[in-house]
Amino acid sequence: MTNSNFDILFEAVHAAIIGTIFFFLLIQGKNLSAHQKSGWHFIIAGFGLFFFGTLLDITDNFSTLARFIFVGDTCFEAFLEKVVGYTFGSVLLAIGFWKFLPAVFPLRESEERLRKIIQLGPISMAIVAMDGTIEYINQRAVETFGYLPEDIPDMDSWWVLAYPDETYRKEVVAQWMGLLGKAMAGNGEIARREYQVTCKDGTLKTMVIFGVLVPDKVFVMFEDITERKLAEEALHQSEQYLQETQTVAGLGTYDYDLITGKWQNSAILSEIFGIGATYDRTLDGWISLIKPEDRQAMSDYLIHEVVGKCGKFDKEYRIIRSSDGEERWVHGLGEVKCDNQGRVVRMIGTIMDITDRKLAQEEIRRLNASLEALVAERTEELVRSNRDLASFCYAISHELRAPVARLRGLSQALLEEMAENPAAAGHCAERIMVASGQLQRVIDSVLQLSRLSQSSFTPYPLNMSAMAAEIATAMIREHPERQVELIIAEGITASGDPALVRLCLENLLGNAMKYTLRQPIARIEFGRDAASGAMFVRDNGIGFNMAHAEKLFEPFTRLHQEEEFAGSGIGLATVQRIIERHCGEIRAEAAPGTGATFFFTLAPLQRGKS
Amino acid sequence: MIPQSVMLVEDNLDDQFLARRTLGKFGVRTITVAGDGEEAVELLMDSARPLPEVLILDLRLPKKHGLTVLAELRRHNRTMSLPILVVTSSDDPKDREDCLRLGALAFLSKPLELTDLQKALGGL
Repeated sequence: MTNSNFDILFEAVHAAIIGTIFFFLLIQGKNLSAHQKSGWHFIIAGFGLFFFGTLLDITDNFSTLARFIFVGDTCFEAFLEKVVGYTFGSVLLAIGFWKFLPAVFPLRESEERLRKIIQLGPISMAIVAMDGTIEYINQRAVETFGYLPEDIPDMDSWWVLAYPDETYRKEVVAQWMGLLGKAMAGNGEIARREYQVTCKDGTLKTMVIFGVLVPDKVFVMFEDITERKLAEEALHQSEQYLQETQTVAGLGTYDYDLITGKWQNSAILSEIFGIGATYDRTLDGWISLIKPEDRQAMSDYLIHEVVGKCGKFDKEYRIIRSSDGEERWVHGLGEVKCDNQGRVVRMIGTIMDITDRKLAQEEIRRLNASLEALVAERTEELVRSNRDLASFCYAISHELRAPVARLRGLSQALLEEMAENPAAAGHCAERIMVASGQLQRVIDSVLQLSRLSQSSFTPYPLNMSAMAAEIATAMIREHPERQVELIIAEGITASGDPALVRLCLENLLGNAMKYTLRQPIARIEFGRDAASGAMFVRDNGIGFNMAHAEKLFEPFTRLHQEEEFAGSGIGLATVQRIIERHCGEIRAEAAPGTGATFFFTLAPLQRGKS
Repeated sequence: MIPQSVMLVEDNLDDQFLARRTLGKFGVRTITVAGDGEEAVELLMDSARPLPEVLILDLRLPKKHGLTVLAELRRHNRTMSLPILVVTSSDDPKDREDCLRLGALAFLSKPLELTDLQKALGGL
């Protein structure tokens, strides 16, 4: 073969190759996206021209084609082949590639951006291959879960580590696979679900996990809602707690919209008011709940003080509970909210049923009052008792000294007379007996008197007339030598301690008997004074001087010479003590020679009666 | 000095007995007895009667208390300077004070002792 034959052969191969590339690219160009097309046309044009050049290159081996000027071995052909075909074609190719390649770079660039987003993004992400290999987990995922890429090379290790509990794990895996299947069949999205993921350090985090299918891979995203869950739980608990507290405290709440004129309330407030769902929740509705006497005042308060002055509502008031008509005390508190013009638009507050508290307060007040009265009474008693005690002790001590002095004197005299004067000695001895008897009696009287304060006191209804009659007749029987006229009024009753009252009457009637000794006919009367309502014992005996009346009831004072009217000296003191224990009063009226009347009561005298 | 006539104002018989005895031992010959304060004042104010040389006065007397008697006697010219010895079973310092203030010569405790009499009347 000659040189030119080889030329033709290689040039034909050259043209064939270029031509194939040209046609191949032409066909493939249909599959390209728009942004790639700008460079593409240049490449196609470039290859086209190059192909054109290679074809011309073959023709310049045939000089016979020269007559066509543009083909064959002519300078025109050489121009077309080399300048237009090869050179211009290369230029277009160059431009084309120059345009084309950056079009690929944006893909790289966006890939880079995407990678950066994934890498540094605020949510945990992972890329999982279809065979289960975990190709990539981002920084956030590492921070969130603590697992490093080495820890979780594939899904199996993830299942085990993230869900250590077998039962739960089975659930999770089943759910995920199911969702994955749905995604593959449908829109390529693995639906959002909540999962409890165990982190490397053992803590549990609540995550919402979802995924997106990309060609050959699953793009998994994790949203950490642990904090949110905790906050929700805390809020829920706090709301529950608030509810409970309100319930326990019996605190009802309301919200009054002044613009609509209607209020809303909590369940507890409904209970407090005793109202149902259909109750007229307006201002009038509230007023109707209030006790009629308090309505005007409360209405004024609300309108003028609270709404008018934009002040707080704070009042205790009475309502008539709607459900049962019972009167209840409530304490209402409220705060108003004003608009820009300073007008009240809303009032919110609480109402509490304080009936129990009010009743308790009343009870305490009443108790205090009665306690104070009791204390005053006791103090008075104590003062009186002390006074009594002082004078009593004084009286006793003197009363005891006299017989003791006598005993001493008589004993002394006895000693002196014993040897010389037996008769005188005998007299002394006798008198010693008498004196010691006196002493004994004084001591007994003292004891009797003191026992009066301590003895038990049981009041019974008493037939005073019968008692007086019984005592008096017994006394008269003991003194048959005496002439006594006894007048006992019928039907006089009183309430008192039977033993003490008996003792009292014994003393009074006994005195009457004693002091009427001188009268030929003694007249002893027991009755009730119409004017004062007090009972009385009257005698027509020796009487006494009213000037000394105040000493009458003191123990051991005597208004008459001792021997003449022998007595223990404490009779009237005893009577007075008994009367006092009954909270009654005693008073004596007398005139010397005409007798005495003792008026007494066994209960507090009602003032106002003369 | 031993008084010849003494008036004793005392209501209790035993006390009278004892007082008489002691006065007798002392050497008093005439003893008048009044049973209560009123009687005593009456007798003493009676100008027909001679005054006793000494008055022995008990305090706890019926009708009129010894102190009242003392005060009254001291008010009257007749009995103003009559020596009065109060003889009582009372040991109340107030009684003592009152008696002495009212001009009693002495405040003696019952039973009346010879030595007390001597001491009280020794000064006269």
